Amino acid sequence: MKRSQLRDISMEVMVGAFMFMILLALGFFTIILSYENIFRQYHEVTVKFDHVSGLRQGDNVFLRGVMIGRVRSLIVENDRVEVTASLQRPVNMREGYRIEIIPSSVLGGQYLSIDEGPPDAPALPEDTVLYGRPPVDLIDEATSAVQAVRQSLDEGEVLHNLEAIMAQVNTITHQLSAGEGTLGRLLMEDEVYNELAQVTTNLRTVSEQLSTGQGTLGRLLMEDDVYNELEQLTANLRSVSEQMSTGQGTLGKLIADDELYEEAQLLMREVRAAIDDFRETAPITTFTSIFFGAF
Amino acid sequence: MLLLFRNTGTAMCMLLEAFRDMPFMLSRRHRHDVLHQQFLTAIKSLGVITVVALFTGMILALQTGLELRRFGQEVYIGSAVTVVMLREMGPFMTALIIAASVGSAMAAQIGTMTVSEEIAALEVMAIKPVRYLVTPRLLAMIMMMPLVTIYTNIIGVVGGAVVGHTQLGVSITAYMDNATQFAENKDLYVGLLKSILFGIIIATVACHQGFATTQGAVGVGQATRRTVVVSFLVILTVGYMVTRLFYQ
Amino acid sequence: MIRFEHVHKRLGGRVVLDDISFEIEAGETFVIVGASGAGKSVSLKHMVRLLTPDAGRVMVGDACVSQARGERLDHIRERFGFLFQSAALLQWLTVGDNVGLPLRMKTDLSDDEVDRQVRDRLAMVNLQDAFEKLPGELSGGMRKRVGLARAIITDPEIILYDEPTSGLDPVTSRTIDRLINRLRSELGVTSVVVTHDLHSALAIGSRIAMLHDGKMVEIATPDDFVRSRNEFIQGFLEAQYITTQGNWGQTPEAS
Ligand SMILES: Nc1ncnc2c1ncn2[C@@H]1O[C@H](COP(=O)(O)OP(=O)(O)O)[C@@H](O)[C@H]1O
Ligand SMILES: [Mg+2]
Repeated sequence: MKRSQLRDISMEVMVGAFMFMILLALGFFTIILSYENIFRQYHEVTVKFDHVSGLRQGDNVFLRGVMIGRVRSLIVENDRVEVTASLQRPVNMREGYRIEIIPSSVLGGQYLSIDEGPPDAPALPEDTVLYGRPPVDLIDEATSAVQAVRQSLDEGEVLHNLEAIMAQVNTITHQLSAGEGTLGRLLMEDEVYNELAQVTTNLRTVSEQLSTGQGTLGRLLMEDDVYNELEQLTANLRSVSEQMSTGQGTLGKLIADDELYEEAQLLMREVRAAIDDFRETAPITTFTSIFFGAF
Repeated sequence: MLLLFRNTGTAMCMLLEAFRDMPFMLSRRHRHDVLHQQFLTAIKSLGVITVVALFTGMILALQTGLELRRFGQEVYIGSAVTVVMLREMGPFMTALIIAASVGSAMAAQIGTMTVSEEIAALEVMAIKPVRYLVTPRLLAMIMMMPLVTIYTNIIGVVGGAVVGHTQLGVSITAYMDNATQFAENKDLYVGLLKSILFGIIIATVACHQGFATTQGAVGVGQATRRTVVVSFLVILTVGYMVTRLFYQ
Repeated sequence: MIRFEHVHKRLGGRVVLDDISFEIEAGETFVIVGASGAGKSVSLKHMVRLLTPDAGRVMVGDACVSQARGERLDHIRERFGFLFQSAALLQWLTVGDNVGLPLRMKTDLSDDEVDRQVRDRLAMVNLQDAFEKLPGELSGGMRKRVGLARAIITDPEIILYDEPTSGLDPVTSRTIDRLINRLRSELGVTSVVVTHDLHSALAIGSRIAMLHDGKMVEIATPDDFVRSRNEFIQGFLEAQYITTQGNWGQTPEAS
């Protein structure tokens, strides 16, 4: 055998072995890095959003805080975005479910948060089209809140605003509790009645806390987060109460109009949720969701 | 400036001719020349590549790890090292090393052949120097660069894992979980696309400089130096543009 | 066969070939002599278009080599074998691979057939044993003989020799001379030989040309050449102790 032939053969073996090993590694990595695991079964969920605020393929999906999958695809439709996620377990949506896009940090990055809804609520049929809630732009929110706070601090109007709101809230609650005649039909239904009563007490508690809490407010103002939320609440409550108090005629219409009646019911629920949330100092997102969702 | 355009032009002509002659050099009889170049490109560089890749991964892990530790997020070195290796550092480090070792050797070899009339001898024998010399080198680069880049990536990620484990207290499984959560196939394949482009750049620049050599041994030295400088510059620009294209 | 028509060439800022015209006949051995740097290699390179004239042209048969491109140029070049001054072997190939390179790149001959032909040519230059060696392992003279073997592997009609015997011992030099003569007499090869070695020139040349100062100062048969009145030729002859006495131009015995 010639010298050059021996050299060739050892060269062939080495190049071949190297290529083989690397291609094997490439296949391995491709499987690891792709979201699909060929040995596991995946469950798909499709949700429609008005706006996805930069959610990306591959972002995580959390079910009540547990990572259960990833966003597979985003398809832009006429006026919505259809988000498909592959999940490692099936999720059964119930009435009152929430699907949201949550910023994972101030610097960006989103995840999809799924809440199946209250455990005792009826399950939705399989083929229900799921709608997600619009996302919050954390930075925008923070900036506008801070600006508003700064402005009202400068003008020294925070307290005035709060007081004004309280007055309006009181008016509403009085109207509601006293308004047996006007809201007769509303109060015929136990559920609505209970809800209203709940709202009333809640609102009362809030207003009491706020009006007596001169000192508490002072402390609250020291903490930025709570303060911002308060500011936001103030704004939201103001618009809610303004609309309600000017809507004496609207309330009248409620009795006649079923659609408006339905909406009022929804509104009640939202308001109650908002107040509940406020008491638990829940994230500001809830408030904006009232704001956009109710009106 | 005119010279720059002219050189780019001749280099592109050479590249096209080399591409056209690929089927010829891949035929059974000439395959062995390609194989020889593959051997030179990949196997002979594995030693230095291993060391460089390992330390690149280790440095990446250490630097990002120390920063992340301030926020208690050391586990993110997994994704930091992997994503950076796959997207940028893997193809880039590989290309720099191959340009500096294999590319400069190519330029020196072809440069020496030019000044010692060996290229002229090929021409007189009606053997196209581009077909005989450039095509196998180009083929070898195109085939081996991605493979060597994968190798660099693996070694770099392993280096990061080692530093994570020993210096930052990140377990290997946590590191790998984090890495696979954030790295995508796209990162890997865009990196490989880059490495193919880098391979073409190195082969083209080296061979072009080799053929353009004049003035004996001094000229060979100049061709070698220019090969390294020019390929670095082109690799950097093309690397940036590819990144721009895929990650707006 | 090969005709220079008013060829001008400037290189490195000086005129190397200045309006040169001459013709080389088919089947003859045309020897070009001249001082170092006179432009002998430059004229050879014009014949295969490694250089292109600034003015004038070079014809090979009916084809103008100075204007040929691509395929046509390849066809002209395939008629030539060229032994370079520096042999110009590819350093990383063995002697056998170097000599066989044109066959492997340009023909479909089987590896065994290539091998056989390579060994045949190596035997012609007395280098049968060098088949597996690399050029770096050979002496300058051996390399030149390998270059010669490579130049004749494709059985060309025209062979250009650039200083085939310089740096070789006298015995090997005469072997090369004999080989050149044999190729001419047995295969009818046209040869152009560049050399300083007048002994060699007179022994193999059918005509000898003296290149000086960019001009062909004399083109003559060996007998006429030694009797030339030209002072440069006289100087050249004296420097190599060649007198006008004696009978030049005889072919040495083929071995
Ligand atoms: N490529 C080149 N560039 C510049 N000058 C050259 C080149 N080739 C040859 N020359 C010049 O041309 C002249 C003739 O060279 P050459 O033909 O090689 O001489 P010789 O007769 O010894 O073979 C020399 O002066 C040389 O310097
Ligand atoms: Mg010369």
